[in-house]
Amino acid sequence: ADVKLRLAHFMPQNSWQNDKMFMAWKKAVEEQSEGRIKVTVFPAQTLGKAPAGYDNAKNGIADIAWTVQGYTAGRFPLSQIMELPNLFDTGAVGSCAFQKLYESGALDEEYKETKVLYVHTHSPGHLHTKDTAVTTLDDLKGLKIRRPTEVIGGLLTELGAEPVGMPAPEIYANVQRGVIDGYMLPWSAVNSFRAYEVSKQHTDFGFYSLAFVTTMNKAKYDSLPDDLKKVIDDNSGMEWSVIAGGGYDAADEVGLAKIKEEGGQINIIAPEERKRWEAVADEVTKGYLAELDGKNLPGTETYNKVKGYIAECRTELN
Amino acid sequence: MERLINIFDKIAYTALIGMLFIVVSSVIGRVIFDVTGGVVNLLIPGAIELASYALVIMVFASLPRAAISGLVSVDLVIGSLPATVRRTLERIWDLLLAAFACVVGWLFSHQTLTMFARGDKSQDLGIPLYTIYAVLTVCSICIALTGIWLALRPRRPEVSDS
Amino acid sequence: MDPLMIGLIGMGVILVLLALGCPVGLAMIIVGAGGFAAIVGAEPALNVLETAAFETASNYSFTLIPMFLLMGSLAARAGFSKDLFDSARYFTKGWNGSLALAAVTSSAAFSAISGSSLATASTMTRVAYPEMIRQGYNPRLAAGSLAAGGTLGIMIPPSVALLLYALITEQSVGDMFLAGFLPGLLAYLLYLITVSIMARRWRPTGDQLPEPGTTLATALKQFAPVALLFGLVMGGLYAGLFSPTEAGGVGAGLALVFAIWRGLTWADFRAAVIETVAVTATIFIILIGAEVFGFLLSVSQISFEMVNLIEVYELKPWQVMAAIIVFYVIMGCFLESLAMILLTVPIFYPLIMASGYDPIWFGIIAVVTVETGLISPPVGMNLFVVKSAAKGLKLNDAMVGVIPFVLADIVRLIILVSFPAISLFLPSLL
Ligand code: NA
Ligand code: NA
Repeated sequence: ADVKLRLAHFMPQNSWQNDKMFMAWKKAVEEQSEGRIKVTVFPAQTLGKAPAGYDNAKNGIADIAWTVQGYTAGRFPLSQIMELPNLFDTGAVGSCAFQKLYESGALDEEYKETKVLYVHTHSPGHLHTKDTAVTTLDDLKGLKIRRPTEVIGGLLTELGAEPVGMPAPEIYANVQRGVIDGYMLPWSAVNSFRAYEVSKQHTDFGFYSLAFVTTMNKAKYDSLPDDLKKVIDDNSGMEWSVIAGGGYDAADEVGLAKIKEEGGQINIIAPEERKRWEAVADEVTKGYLAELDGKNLPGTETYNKVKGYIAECRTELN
Repeated sequence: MERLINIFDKIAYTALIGMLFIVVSSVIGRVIFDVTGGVVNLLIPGAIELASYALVIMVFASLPRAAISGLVSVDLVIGSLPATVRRTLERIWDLLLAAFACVVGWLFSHQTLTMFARGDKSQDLGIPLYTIYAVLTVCSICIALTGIWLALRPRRPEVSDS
Repeated sequence: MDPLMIGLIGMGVILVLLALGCPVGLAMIIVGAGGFAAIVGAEPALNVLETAAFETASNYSFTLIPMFLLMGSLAARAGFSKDLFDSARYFTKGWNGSLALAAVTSSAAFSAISGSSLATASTMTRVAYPEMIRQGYNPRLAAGSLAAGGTLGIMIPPSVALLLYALITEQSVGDMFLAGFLPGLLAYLLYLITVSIMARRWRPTGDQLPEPGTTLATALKQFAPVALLFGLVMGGLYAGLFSPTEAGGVGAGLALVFAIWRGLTWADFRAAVIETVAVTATIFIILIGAEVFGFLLSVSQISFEMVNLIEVYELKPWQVMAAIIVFYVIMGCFLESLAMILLTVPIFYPLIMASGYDPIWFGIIAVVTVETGLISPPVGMNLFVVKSAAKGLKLNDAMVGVIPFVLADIVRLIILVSFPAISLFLPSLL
């Protein structure tokens, strides 16, 4: 091979992400380049810890890295708009909208240090608790909940819970020992962390979604001859964004089935009560956007764009 | 030099005791929180984060002292070498430690400036991250100085047994 | 050059550097960063240094290390070790080699509140060695039993070695600690038998002076604080009062309370803190080295190629396991314990997984061999520690005296390899 690329991600080797997102991408790129590009996939943080993913691609420790923007607080403020509550129902739609937002150039300032291949989101995350059934805001009051990122931590505080920060792999032990009362994850992740064993109550509410990016070292990309650049370009953008987001949707179905099979209780918030939750969520959204606007970032403008893209994607993907 | 290292010793002790305090009080805080049904909330916000930063500062602040008392090594072959050869090798390792500390300190100083300019904050408490990196930069300089100091001395300082 | 080749050369260079007395952590850092630079580039290698140093030293899970060390250190300063020895003497009196039996017994008990083998060996040596010499014990028997007894520190929980294994292989720390309990007890029993046999050959020449005025009540009272401390920390951990990461802090906090109650002086407290901080730093430089070296292992794909070799040569799982154990036993003669875990587990772990072995069981086997390495001549850290803590002891005597215990360890290794249930029974109850 003329070019060797190291692709780093943080999911285990036997995860669907490794298969459907990264090994599939490797195969596509190797075939289309007729073997002139060789991709080595490094799963499970074997080439750098998850929070360092973006910097590792920037610095060339990995040539390509997949990471979560929210792991580095405050660095991707506009991208983290995708995390805000109640925006979309599926990972495919969220990913499509996020990718459109990226392609509009609205996020260029945040990613100028690397060459983005595609951005995506996971399916909406829900609330999972050890043994307290949560269907009203009063139920949630004072519960210690593991929050995925700072932005979502703000939402939890407003809903009356107490956000706790910890790495996702520590959720299991900490719920089991009662250090936290619950956590927020999409159905698929509850399954992959086997967290359904320690949490039997699940509240269906699209609290948030995480923003992800698969990005490439800029110098490495620039060093490629034009025909190989084209292979990378052909394997960037919307197609892979939707593969990733859709992958989360498919994994959600499996995860939800597993949770039910293990005797998990799925709690639905009654319509009246739901309005109260949504009112709080709206306040959090407004607060976050006002904060961005206050920093002279186009917060509200970007949010409105996202809503438009979501509407477009809903029709396009159906 | 001894006086400089003493300052860093004190930073390390403070960080260790701070870490102990954070962990113990968050466990006690949780017990009280649970026993009183959430009425008395003495939980320290961001305990995990604080403990992590206390650890990183403790490690870097205590490396100068650790370098003097000797890092873990295998003295099987070297033990049978003539004293002058042995001393030369020791000097090389001391200088290598200094070189490592210089590189890391230089990288930390860059991080300090980047984080300062970008305003990166910690996830839970919003601590400006450049402050942590600034402390680590200063610690790294002290480690580098200690390494050079050890290499230049005619003999390694004797270490008492306690 | 081929990345695999660079990786293999890197391993060779590490061995040379270690032989020349280069600190273990530093050697791993230099070779790891150098090899990474050769495969990927100099600038990425610098960034590896920066992230490895920062991420490792700010890893919340690692706060357990200084906390467990502080717990042991405080317990030693508060005089727990002397009490344990006196208490054990009550129970072993009348037996052949009773003082050495008491030394092993009190080492085992101290291991239950100390995460480190070296700390256990040095603490118990200070208390028990002078007494044994005073009563005419052969220095070989005295030093051998203390060096071997000290190794129990990393098998009986809490243990820094088991902790590190759990953290690098992403196993549960709680399971790992539970798994170490029965193998630790087995070691203790085998050491008791070893001491009894040795005492026939090296009979104490002095008078057997009984501890004046010890009764069952005082003996139990002397033993109680340590039992209570161990019970609270492990009980609270498994009852779910706190997380494994918090257990260290709870242990250190309780040890401090006990120690103050026992009349801990400010100077003793200071000494415990100084000791903890210094030992932690030496462990972390190795941890950082292991992280940097891990990057080289990854990009050179050494583990991946080794797993391939198994398939190509159709090696049976037991052959892989036997090769790894032999390697560990030989390396154990030369390498320091934690360094060996950190250096080799990332390389061997994928092989063990590919061969279908239980990761917890392999962790116990790895730590047992490493434990033997602590006392196997010529380089056994515990031997050096015992020598420096025991006035007038010749290293040669320690090396001869420890050989029967090394044999006992080999017997234990065979038992544990043959009966994985000994290691896996307790974790399976959870
Ligand atoms: Na122990
Ligand atoms: Na050895």
